[in-house]
Amino acid sequence: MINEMFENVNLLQKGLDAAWTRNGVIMNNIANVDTANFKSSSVTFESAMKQALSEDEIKFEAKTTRPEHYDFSDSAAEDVSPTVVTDTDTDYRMDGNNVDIDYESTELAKNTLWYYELSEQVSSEFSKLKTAISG
Amino acid sequence: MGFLSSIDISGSALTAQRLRMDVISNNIANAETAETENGEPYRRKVCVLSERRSFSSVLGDQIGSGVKVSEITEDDSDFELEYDPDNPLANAEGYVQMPNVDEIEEIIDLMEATRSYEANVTAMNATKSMAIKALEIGG
Amino acid sequence: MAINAVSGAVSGVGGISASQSTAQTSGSGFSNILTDAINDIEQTETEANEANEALLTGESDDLHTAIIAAQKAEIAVSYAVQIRNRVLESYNTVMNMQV
Repeated sequence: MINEMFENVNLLQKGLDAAWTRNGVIMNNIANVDTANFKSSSVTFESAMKQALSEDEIKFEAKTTRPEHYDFSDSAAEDVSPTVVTDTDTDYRMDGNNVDIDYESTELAKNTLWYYELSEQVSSEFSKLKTAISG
Repeated sequence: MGFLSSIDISGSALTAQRLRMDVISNNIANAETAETENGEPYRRKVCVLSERRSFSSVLGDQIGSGVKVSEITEDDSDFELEYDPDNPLANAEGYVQMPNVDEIEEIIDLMEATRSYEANVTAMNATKSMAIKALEIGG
Repeated sequence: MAINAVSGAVSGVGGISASQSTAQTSGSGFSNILTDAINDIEQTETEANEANEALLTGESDDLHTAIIAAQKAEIAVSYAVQIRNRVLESYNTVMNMQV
């Protein structure tokens, strides 16, 4: 019962984990903006999650025609985790460093706001649950 | 990985860039030093930056741990020659060897180091505000 | 019509014993829910403790994991308390029924 209650929270928490990982990667990119031969990295997550959720939707539709209760642990969304990808394709400067500080700065801003938004949603989920429980 | 160790990533950059700024300032300060203890003019110093890797990070070592100044080397390029026959250090042709420091280049480097420093301060502040926001979860 | 009246009376009697047995089945239904809720408390409690330990030993890097675990544990307890209250309520209601 608890797992069903916290379905949304668990998904949002995955987003928070991904945003945190991405923050670490962006910070490392910015820290190494002047390091010779350093290649920047990024974090993929959203597209994998989108894929998993649409797979789940298809699975859901199949399950609602059957009497078995839906089991969240079957969902593909639960297995999605953030992946760190190093960008070895672009050569940006003469010292072999391909960090674009302006790009990283905008990514930092976007990611921070994403983290804020996810936190807000988690808070809102929790207060909905608390209201539902205590009437 | 320690608590909020991601902030250490930016912290390492602040340390490294500050050291780099010190080295550049030293170059600028000694741009006219024609004679040092070893008899030669001041030789330009350069900071070599390299990525710091921690082996205990949560995602294996996929996320680097920032940057460090791995060494401070001397610039091997030739000394400048300045025509100054009245100078006691002048050679037979009247030229004095001067440090291989190009002040304009150093100032540009200094501006770059400052800009990197600021970008890392911004990154650190972003992380801090994210963490504070997380504390507000659940009211 | 008369047959319907008789079958109505029979089912009425059967209805009372049915409600008694319903009370018993709904009692065990409730106790299942309560047991589940208590297990959930244990689970969320464990997760919250693990998260706290990670915070204390400096093993965790982020804040949101521990906070979310703590909130879940709090809600689990809240939920179980509510279930317990409802169980007690229904039990009292059934016990006070005139049979």
